[in-house]
Amino acid sequence: MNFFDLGFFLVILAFLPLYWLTAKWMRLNNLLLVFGYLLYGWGHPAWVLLLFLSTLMDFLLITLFQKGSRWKMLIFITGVGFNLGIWLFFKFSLISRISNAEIAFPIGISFYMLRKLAYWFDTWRGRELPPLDFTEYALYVAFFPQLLSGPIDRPGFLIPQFSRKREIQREFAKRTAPLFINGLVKKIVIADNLALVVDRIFRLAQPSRLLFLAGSLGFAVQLFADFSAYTDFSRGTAYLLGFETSENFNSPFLALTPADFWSRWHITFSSWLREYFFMPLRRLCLKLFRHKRILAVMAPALLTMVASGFWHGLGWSFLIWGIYHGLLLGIYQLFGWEKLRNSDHPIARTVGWFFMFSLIVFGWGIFRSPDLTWLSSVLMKNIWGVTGMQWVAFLSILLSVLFYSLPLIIKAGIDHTAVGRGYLKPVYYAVILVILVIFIGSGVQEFVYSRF
Amino acid sequence: MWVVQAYEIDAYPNKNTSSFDAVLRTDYRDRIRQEYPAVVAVGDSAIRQLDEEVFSQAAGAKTVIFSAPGSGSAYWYLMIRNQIIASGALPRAVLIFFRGTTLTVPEYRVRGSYFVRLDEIGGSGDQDVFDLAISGQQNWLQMMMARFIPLYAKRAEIYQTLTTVTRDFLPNRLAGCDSACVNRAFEETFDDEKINAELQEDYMRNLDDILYQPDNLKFSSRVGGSLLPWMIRDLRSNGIIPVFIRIKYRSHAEGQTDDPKLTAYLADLESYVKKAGGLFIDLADEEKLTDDMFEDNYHIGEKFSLEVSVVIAEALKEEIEFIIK
Repeated sequence: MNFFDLGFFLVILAFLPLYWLTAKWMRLNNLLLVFGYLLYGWGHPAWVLLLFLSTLMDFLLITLFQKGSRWKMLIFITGVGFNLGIWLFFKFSLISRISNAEIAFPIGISFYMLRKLAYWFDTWRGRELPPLDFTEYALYVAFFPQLLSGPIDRPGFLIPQFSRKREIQREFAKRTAPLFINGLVKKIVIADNLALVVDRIFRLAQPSRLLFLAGSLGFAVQLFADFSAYTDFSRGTAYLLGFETSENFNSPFLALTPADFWSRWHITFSSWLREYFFMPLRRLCLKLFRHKRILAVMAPALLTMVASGFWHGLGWSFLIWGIYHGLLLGIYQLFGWEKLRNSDHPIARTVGWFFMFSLIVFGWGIFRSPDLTWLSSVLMKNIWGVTGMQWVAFLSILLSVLFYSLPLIIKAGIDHTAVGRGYLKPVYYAVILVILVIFIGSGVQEFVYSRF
Repeated sequence: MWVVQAYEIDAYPNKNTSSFDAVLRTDYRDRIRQEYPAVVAVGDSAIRQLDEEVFSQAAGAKTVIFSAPGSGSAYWYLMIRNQIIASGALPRAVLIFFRGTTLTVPEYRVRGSYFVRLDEIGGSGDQDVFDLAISGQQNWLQMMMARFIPLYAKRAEIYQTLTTVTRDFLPNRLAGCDSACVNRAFEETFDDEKINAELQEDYMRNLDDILYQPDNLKFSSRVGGSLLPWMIRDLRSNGIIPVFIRIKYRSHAEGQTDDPKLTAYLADLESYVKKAGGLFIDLADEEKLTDDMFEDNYHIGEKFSLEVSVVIAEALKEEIEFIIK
């Protein structure tokens, strides 16, 4: 299931008239749910079975929980443990290791697992949620525009929309085309072209440090373009179905501090972690380490970001990346540097931004590294590469990365200025449509975040 | 309008997307006519180090070798049709050096910068080859867009213009490095000079990876839509024996074995070629080609040129002598 696949696109186009024309005499949620299951399971019926059965299990347990059973704690632990267990089982290929069988990793499981856990946690906390209805709950878990790679909307935000009367909204329709156009440009033009050179850099046995930095910069831009393109298409498709969904990115490369970055990057995942992992952990650490400020500040930040690393994968590079960002969060907090977000001083903001941008790019280099040995070799042993052919390759790649970043930079400039929003926006869309025509024949490569 | 003027599109709808131009290179044909070799060899850069004189002596037959870097089966077929057979000085055998599944993937290395070379030896009488290798690989939507949207039709050229600026600008300004130098830098660093030099669609289509995709490893389903039957037909009908020679890689010399699917593909290829009256030789089995002779996985090092020419010629000698006699 790939938004950019022509076949998928045609299927959606064929589905939309059926969806809206049958609004009066068919329950739209049932139609949406069945359609979502069909799309998800195309070629992989076992995945749909897993999704459906785990959703049914959750529904039954939550119903039992909400009926005020005296076994609430046990039901809650069972529900959370069941979801985590399934995810860990597939994530870490336990089933393959036990049975020596080739078991495909169900795409999207890392995302829908988080949605189910969010429902469990909100239920446990007694948050006000709409009355439990199987179709609405199943649709919340398996809402097809978000099923593969998010955004991870909260139950309190998405589920109420399922029970509201659905109408074709002009405002939603207006937002769809820009989302699709931007998504196409980000994926086909920026992400897939940068991937060609980034992949080659990270496959080198001994790249120079400068090449590593160019590769890290390229990967940072590639990942942002790739993932935000998916989100654009997800949101655009949701609008076409009459739903408002959450933004997932808000100019993350303009961040001034680590906390600022995580409030702009993969927003729904970061806020999920903050609410359900970091804050409870922080409260606990403040109690446990009330006389040791360093531990009280560093521990929750480190543990949260390590968890984030594990969510992405089992490799050492993900763990190191998590520790790296945990340390950044903790250190900025400890030294009070988070206040930079509110500073009006232009020099401080500029220096702070440059420093933060460099740290972010370096972090993505860690994330992308094939393994720890490779990374340590690059950082400790390899040459800088300021002469010779690697220097020439570095210069060429650097400008290519900047070239492919231009649409993103220009778009950010347009979005953040009144003149841009007023006059330059139509010019921008005209130019990127021209660019799209040049690149459209390239097809679409796999989304990076579909691997997690 | 800018695209129409800048890229000299002289008709609308655009017609220049669907055939080779009328100009045909004839120097290869002229050379064959002059030298009247007993054997002609064609292949890509994997045979660039073969020395004609040494090879001819060792093989016991006058041999002319045409090594076209970045070529594939479309190029080799056009060489056979428009240069070898058209010369009138028909050799006894044509050696076709290939890698992987190149013989049955007609769309390999026909687009982007490779099209320029192909167009040199393809003419207005080669529409069938163009349709099979190029336009046959496009869907109707792409063909319509190429005809009616000039920007789309000339996208490869426009991209080339952009890359001249982006790819080469900083190396030129800060390292005194021109386009050829940048290509060398990518070749030395990544073993691939084409990164970022072509439209991604052309680059991906021209990657070696495409030769080993599962669909391309099924010989029986690919052979019918390839240029291999045409090569054999045209050569055999002119009394020429086709000899298909799989080149050796360094990985073979280091002891690596082929993927079982590739082994099965090659077995089917050998059987097909032999039934059609041709010969098949697998140099991967040639022990005298050792790993130190290679400068990368496919190419022989320059200093081993003479030695390798002798080794390969001697490996083929029995077959070639039999054909010539």
